Amino acid sequence: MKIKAGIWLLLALLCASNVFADNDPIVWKPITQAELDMKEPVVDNNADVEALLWEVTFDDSDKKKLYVNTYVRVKIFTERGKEAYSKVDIRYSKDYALESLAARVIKPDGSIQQLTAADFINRQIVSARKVKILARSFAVPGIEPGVIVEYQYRRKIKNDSINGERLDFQRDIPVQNLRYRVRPFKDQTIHPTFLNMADLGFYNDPNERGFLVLDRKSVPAFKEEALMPPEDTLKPWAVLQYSGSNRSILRTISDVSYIYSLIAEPDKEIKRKADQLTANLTNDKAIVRALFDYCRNDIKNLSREGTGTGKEPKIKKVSDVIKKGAGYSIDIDLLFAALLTATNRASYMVFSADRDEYFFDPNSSPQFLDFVHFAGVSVNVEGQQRYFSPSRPWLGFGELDWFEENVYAVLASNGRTKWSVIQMKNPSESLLSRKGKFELSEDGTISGSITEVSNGYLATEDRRLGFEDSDEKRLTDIEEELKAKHSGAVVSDVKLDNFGSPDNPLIKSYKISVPGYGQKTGSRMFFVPNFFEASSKPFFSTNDRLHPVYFSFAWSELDEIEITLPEGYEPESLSTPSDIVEKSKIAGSDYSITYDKQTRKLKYKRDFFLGDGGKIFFPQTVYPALKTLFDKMHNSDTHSIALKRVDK
Amino acid sequence: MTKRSQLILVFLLAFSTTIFGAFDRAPSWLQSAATQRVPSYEKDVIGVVLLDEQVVTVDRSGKIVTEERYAVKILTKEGRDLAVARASYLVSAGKVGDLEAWTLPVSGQVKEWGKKDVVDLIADPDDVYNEHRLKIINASDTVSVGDIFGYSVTIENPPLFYQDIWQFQGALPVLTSRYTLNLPSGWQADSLTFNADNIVPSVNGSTYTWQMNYLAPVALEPMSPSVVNLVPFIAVNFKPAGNESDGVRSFANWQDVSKWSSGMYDPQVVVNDEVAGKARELTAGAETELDKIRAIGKFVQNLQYISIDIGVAYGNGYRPKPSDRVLNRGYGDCKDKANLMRAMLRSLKIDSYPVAIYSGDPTFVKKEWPSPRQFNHCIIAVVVGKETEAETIIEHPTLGRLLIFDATDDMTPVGDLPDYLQGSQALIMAGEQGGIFEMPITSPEANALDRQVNVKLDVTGAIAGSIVEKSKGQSSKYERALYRSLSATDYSKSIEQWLTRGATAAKLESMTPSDDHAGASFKLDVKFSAPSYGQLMQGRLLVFKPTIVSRSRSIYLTDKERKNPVVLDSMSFKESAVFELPSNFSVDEMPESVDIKTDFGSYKTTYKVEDSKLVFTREMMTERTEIPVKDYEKVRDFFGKVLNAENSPVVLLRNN
Repeated sequence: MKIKAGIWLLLALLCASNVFADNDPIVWKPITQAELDMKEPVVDNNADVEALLWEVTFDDSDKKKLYVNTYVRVKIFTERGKEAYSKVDIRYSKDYALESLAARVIKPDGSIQQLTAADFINRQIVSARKVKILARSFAVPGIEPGVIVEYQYRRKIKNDSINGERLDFQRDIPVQNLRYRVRPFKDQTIHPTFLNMADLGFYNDPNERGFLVLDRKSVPAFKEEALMPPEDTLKPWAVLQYSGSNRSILRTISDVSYIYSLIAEPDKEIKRKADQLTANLTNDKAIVRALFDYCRNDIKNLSREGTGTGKEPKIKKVSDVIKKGAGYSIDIDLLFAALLTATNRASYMVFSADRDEYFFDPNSSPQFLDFVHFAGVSVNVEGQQRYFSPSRPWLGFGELDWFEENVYAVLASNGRTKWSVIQMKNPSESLLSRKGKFELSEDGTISGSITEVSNGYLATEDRRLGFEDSDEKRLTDIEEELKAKHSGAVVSDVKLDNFGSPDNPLIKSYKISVPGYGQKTGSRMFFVPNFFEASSKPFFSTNDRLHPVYFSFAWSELDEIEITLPEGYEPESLSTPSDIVEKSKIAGSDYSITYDKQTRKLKYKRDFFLGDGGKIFFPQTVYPALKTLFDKMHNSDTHSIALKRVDK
Repeated sequence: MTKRSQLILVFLLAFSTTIFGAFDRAPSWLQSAATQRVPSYEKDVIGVVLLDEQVVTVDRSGKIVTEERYAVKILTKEGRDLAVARASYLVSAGKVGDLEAWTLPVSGQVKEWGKKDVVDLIADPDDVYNEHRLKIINASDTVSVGDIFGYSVTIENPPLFYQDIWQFQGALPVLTSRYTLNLPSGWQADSLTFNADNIVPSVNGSTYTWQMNYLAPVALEPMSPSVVNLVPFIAVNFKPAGNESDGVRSFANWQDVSKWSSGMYDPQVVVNDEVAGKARELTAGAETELDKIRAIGKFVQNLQYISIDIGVAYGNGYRPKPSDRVLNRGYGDCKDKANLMRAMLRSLKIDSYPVAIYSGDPTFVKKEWPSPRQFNHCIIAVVVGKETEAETIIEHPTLGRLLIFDATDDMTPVGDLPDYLQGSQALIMAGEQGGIFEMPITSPEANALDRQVNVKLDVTGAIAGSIVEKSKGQSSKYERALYRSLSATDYSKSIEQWLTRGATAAKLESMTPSDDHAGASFKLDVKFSAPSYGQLMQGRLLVFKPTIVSRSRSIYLTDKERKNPVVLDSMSFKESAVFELPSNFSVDEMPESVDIKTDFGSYKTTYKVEDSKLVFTREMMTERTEIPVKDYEKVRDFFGKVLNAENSPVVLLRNN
């Protein structure tokens, strides 16, 4: 046993020492006394760690390989920084080889602790069939505030070039010098295209001929915030492209759509199916609806439901989807296009931008194909251009997901392309209507029946996010959410109707009883008449804001509540909360409260909306006003009413 | 597309096209399991385990071969995630035989999964090096509700100990759970049962079988003991007949475990010039024994936590690295840190012992079963003189006064102990003198939070003032952890959010946090304001809640019925809030004071008006307790009353 253990340990050590796959000498850049002496960060006073240098070098001079060298020098300022850089883990694979990893730690007195081969550990993170993801890792010895941690490595990537390479100009820690060096392929010209930043000019590296350099200095760390626009719209980045390699999106989509059109060419089977589905239908909308319903409801979507057998059906042409009753998402959307064509309707393939990823504008954004994706099919229905994706079972007739609306899209047909804008729904089209009838008892318990009806984006999002869940889980989630919101609540008769019928509003209903809802103090009882908002938290909780505020879509809410007050109590104060309306009517809420002494019924109504006129983006400069607006709305939403005990 | 995303895409594509093998029939054990009658369960039960079986065969050379068979029926869409075959092994010594799996669909043919579907992955990708690996077959994307998924695997491991644990279930219901031990002839086994009546094995020659059937699902309830403390399990010992426990692979008592463990630890205490020099340097200004321990404890805690265990199958998971090496590299895991501290203390003529403990659940370790397998963490017991006083000192009958300290948790200084370790049974590794011992529990007073609120309320309902919080012991640990883990900007935001949760639109005017790590205390001084905190009604009533921050907003114990005991942690806080009232208003109504005393805790509020000031106080204390199900209503009622009291408003009336 001991011999076996010994052999294994020897193997482990041999494995661990096999670090330098090549014999390139490791060259460290000189450290200055100022860097050693640094006591405080320069870019961000509050930083725990700051990169003094972050340099990535791309060498594309070899036709078959791309070499990428990374050189990082970071200064540790705090215990948190120490924690963050105590171990370094670099992933690689067979085609993404890692070479020449070296690391060292430099103390403020200039003494250097160089890591040896034994300090680097090779790990196989995942291995499956022909795929292997590996990592080379090391723990940083003697790390403490004040030290500089420095490491470098080279990647060798087979059959790759710098064309299309993305360069990030902001990282998750502050960087004093962020540098990219690029050696393009012989006689080729490379151009960077910059996003969310001013253009940086390439300059020739004075220290190494053939290399072009892009420099950015004093770069603060990127920090995330809730309700911020997509990262790629905020962070500075660039893409490298060789001259002549960049095609416009329209040209590329033209080629793609031509191929799609060939696939979606209606054959006999398609025509037969279209005839069958539209027999006896004359109304334009009814015909499109019949084709859409068939594709969405009768075809099994293998992309979402799996094959069930693990065998992938061969779909060579769209009519195969009809024969098999199943297809992948793109097959289903193309089948819809083919059926439309078979009924002599001109349809377009829709390649839309995704505003959850990047705010794309063809007039000002670079022409990167990644900015658009195949979103579905467009057809004119009764004089109106409508957009469809029958492959997504949560979408209704003429709907796309919120991130594919209020964006630019390419409409393509048989190789012909044009830009179009897909409009966003207005707030009233995404309405959450909540109605509740309650009784408030003398001990402060409130009990009632509630119906919540949602449509538009609100319903679509609920369906999209809950689509993978079982019916039981959806009901359990509703119950748990209510219990978390209303402490001590007893919830019963929870129902969720129309979840699988996206053309109808989503209807949630339940009964609820919450003890202690009315707070008693001496002869009074206080309660918030808006049961739905009573436990809501302020929308914005901090006074400072780094990024703009961005709501996914416009929406509205209508709350109608009837509460029967307990016998022996009468309203002492029946003030109505203040209506809140933003000057330009982008958002607002108004309220009404009435009381009928005869029936002891208090009626409350709240009408809220946000995003009128498509205004869902708010620059950071208007954050204080926006926060004040939402704080006022929160105060009005949680406005209390006082009841006073009266002699019977 | 970035290079990284390309890499991920290649990986994902490789798995998205899993192809089934031949449509072989399922093995007889799986077919038999599939024919069992399945009782009906609540709708939230996602699956039922039809068979969970382990057959462990020990040969005379000590080699252990474990055959695992598992079958599960998918009851809901969420249960599809249960269709995963798993085999864990150690790269240094473990050998995994063919991992095979089958899907028995509701209708259609049996599907077989084999070698080509196996993914081999590292168990913990965050460790710099970890020998534990997993082989898995993931069929979750292909199964449907009603399908049965089963797998079998054989794993060969050199045994570290002649001891084993079998947990009969997790949270899922189980129809048959069986553990079989095949021993060489002449060997014998015994077992202890936990969380159930004694389970007697059926014995056939030297084959022992423990079995349980039709185990109900375990309800996952808030504030519940961990699942392992709710479900039945056995601890098994085996050895050649007539042989005394050898103290290496089998243990007759805790003293044996202590002797074995000390053999792993003691040789690694290396006191060389560097270690002794560092100890002298750190304690140069220390006057007392406690000061010296504090200085070294803080240094060791601040070393980076890095775990690199090579040769775990040969006991290296129980052996720290030499202390001189740990000092030189500046990092180590819990046992490395404890052992380095021992070396440094030894150089100062202070004795200490490593202590093996379970981190995460103080009730986990079972005193009845002497075994090193029960622990996952290492702390230290330092021998101290009478002059040293601390809440974490225990009196050991033979080792004397021992100061218990966690050299890994850098948020908890000497004199305190992480709450998840307090009261736990732990192994003091002191050779023949060592054994199992209960760790100290600090008093609620030592973990207190004291809050002083002073605010001025104006006629519009706006408030402005200060909050000063002083926390001690484990209460200070959580404040310290928040303070240290966030950047200055993010910490400030977190305080602002804390205020905003209690008072809409609260504005943080200034904030002064001060951390006294050595004294285990933390102070936070906050100045703030909030418009419209109180609500003015019809210009004459001004209503506000005197609990501004950390107001109880919800109780977790919402269900009327309870299946599991309720676990409470030890905590206490006191708050005194003084509200300067607007001059033309006087108090019309105040909530009634509350004074609740129970076996597990107490809560008290008082209200008083003095010189146009409202003085509100609240005090709460809970003991670490496990409250049985029969007393659930009491604890639910307690927290309900706390919630009610903290949301009760004070009513001011405008003077005529």
